[in-house]
Amino acid sequence: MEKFISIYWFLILILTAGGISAMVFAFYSHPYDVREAEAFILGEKVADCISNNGRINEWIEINKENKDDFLKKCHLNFNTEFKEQGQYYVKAEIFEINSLNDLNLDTDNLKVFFESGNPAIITHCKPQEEKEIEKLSKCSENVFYSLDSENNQYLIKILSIVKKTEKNTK
Amino acid sequence: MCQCIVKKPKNKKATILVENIVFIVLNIVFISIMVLFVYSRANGIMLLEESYAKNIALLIDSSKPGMEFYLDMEKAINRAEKEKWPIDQIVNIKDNIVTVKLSKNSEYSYSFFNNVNVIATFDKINKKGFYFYVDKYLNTT
Repeated sequence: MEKFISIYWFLILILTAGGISAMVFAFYSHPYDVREAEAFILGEKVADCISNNGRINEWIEINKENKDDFLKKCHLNFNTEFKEQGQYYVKAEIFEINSLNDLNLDTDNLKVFFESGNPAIITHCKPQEEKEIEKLSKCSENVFYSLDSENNQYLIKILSIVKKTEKNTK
Repeated sequence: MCQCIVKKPKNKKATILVENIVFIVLNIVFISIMVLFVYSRANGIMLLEESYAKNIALLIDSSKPGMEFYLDMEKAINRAEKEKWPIDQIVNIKDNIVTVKLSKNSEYSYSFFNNVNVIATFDKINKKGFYFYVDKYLNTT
């Protein structure tokens, strides 16, 4: 029976139990991070709202200020359960282009600009281009091509950001 | 004859066998405790509430008015029954916030950005999940 009461045996048991417990706690105490999926869905939703079947939707008036209606038109609600609001940000830019070989996306070609949510979280995107930082907001960028009713060509750029760090990171 | 055997210096084979059996039993007990511990953590009430609330919020975000989806919530329902929490009150959707509650003392809420009215109904026939009907877009923002 020496084998069982040996100090080495207990030491191994304690080390194994401690190791497994530590791993389990580390794994399960971490919340599920769904912000990437959320930002992607938000971007897709805005894209659907701007363009349908390759055509820019009629409610968008080129060269005019459309800002106020943006959230309402796209059926978005940025209220959250957080005390601190401003957990979302979305920006859509519509550039006029001559052809797909000539993508000049500068301010002269910017025909429509929408923005809503908390613009302060835009700064979270740049540092994550090289390395993912958990504590920062998650960003998603979509770029796609569309035509208007007169067959003018446009490139639409959508940036969607979700913060919600309190519920998605430890 | 019998005395002869008893008087032998030690029944070594029998001792080794008993030692090994005790050793194996102790190992099995230890592994079982560890497995139970991992299982209890993996099926923790907080974890279930969080995963279902986030799951529902993402499904609503991707949906459009007129859509209906069914979410299998058997694990959550079993847990709520254990905790004696009414199973038809597990999911609650108010404004744009989903709340999943599996016991009297715990709940988890998560918001969705899709401005739709969603009706959550407990599947009373199979008692395994909830139906979510995306009714219409809301005017409030």
